[in-house]
Amino acid sequence: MICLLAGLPLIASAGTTQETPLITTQEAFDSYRSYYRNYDSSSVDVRRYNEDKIARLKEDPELSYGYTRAPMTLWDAFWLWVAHQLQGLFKDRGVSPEWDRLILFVLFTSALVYVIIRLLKINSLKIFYGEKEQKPLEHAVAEENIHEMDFETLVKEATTAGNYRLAVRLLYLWALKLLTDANHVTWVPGKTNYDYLREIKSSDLKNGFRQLSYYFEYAWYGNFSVTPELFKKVSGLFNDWKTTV
Amino acid sequence: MEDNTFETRVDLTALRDSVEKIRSEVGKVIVGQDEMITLLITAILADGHVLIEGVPGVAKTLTARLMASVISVNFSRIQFTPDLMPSDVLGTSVYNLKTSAFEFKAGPIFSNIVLIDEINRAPAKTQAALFEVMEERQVTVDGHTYPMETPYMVIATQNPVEHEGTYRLPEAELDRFLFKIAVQYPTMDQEVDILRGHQERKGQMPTGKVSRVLTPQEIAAYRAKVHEVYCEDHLFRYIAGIIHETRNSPALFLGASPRASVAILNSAKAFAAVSGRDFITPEDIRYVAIPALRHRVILTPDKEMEGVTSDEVLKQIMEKVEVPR
Repeated sequence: MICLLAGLPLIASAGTTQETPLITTQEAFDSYRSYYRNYDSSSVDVRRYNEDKIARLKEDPELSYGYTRAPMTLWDAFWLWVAHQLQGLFKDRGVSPEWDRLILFVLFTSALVYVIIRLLKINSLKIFYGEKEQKPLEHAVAEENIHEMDFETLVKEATTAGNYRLAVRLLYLWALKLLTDANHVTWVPGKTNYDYLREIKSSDLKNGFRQLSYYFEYAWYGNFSVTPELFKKVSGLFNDWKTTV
Repeated sequence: MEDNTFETRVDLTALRDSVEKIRSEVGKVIVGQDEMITLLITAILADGHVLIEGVPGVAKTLTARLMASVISVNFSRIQFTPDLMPSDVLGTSVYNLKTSAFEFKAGPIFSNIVLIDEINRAPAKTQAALFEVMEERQVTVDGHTYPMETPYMVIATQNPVEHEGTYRLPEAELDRFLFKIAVQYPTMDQEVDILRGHQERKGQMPTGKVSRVLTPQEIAAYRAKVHEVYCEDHLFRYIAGIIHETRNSPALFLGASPRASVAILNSAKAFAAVSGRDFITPEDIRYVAIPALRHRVILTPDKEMEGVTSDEVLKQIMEKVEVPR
């Protein structure tokens, strides 16, 4: 048994050294025919290609899939030159020619977009959402500037004309001017009366201004009529308050 | 400051009493959130719908339910879910075998106060079902138009859009809400009061603690009073100025609509009436402007990316628009 096992590698190596004979297709076919001739007597009609037809098809230009190189234009020559330059830059760094073209494309497209944006002087974000331009306010309600108004004269004119409602309004604007001049409040057109009231720190000043605001709001926004007696009351209140500013 | 120098031309005594009663009843359960309650009362008087937005658990739904509980009207609630269909909201025609005819089965939208909970969890198809009823107070199904009873009010709640499983509401629908009320977390002291209140209720439902203090007839009468509130001519220009500025602001992609102007006017009148005045002041306009506009404007993408909110932009706009004096 041991001898048998020892002899196996020798047998295997003998098998591998034997060469397989090569046969052609025709030989294989003939061999097949000779082998099966005893069993299959039917005649075989071997079909052949029509050589003429193949030659005609080969000459048909519509069936020609060969590649003919187009003549190189100046533009192609430029790109080829750029590609060569890039290859020169990257060839020692193992970058493939496909990457060359991609990097080149990105660089040139970015440069072109940048030049267009600079030339048109546009905000690049506008391209995506269409930013609106800031327009000046067209709806300033009060055309008066409290710092340029002569309140004493204006109040006198209003009371002489019997327009006590307007006179109350002028007293209120006068009060606002006094507060602004004395730095108790900061004059901003968008502030409401209560914004100014909240800004005043002195309680005496605040109480007086609160009362003036009350009369102003009822007379002006509420469109209540103001009698001479009521105006006298408001005027007295204003004059007392003025001394505390 | 109040004195009798100027006699009120519109009697607002009953209205103010009712407002105080509502505050008192809702205040039995809700701690803080005064601005939300004031705006809800204002919306009822201005005949508008309200969208309440806040993170989960800040009493959005509870406040809405309580507001419905203090008014003696029909109340229905719809929980908006991703699979909700328009017919689930509006109703549908069902074939009656006995009469051999189609009969309309009204949906939960047919009520006086409709609470739509988590409105932004339903897709746009279902949201579109609300367009007609919110604006025209009627529903058209199969060629028939069904008008809603008065008063009619939709109170919707939603979580912020960035929360899981929510959709952005269509602009057309948002424009139909008078106010979007942003509910904030309570303060530390308010939180303590909430816990005390919860302890005292001993498991009782919060809505069971409030009484009905307002009838539909009273609401109709108060709304008529609100219409009589005076608006000085310059204040029309002030409102128009704010709206106009939202359309010109470079920070806003979409400005406010003319419907927003009307909303500000109506709500400022209602707020003035709640405050006991029969005329509006710029302060009233400023108070209602942000809740009336914050959901109607859309920020530009760059402002949105910067984290700027519509409230901040609107505040800046109002600081720029001159207050008439």
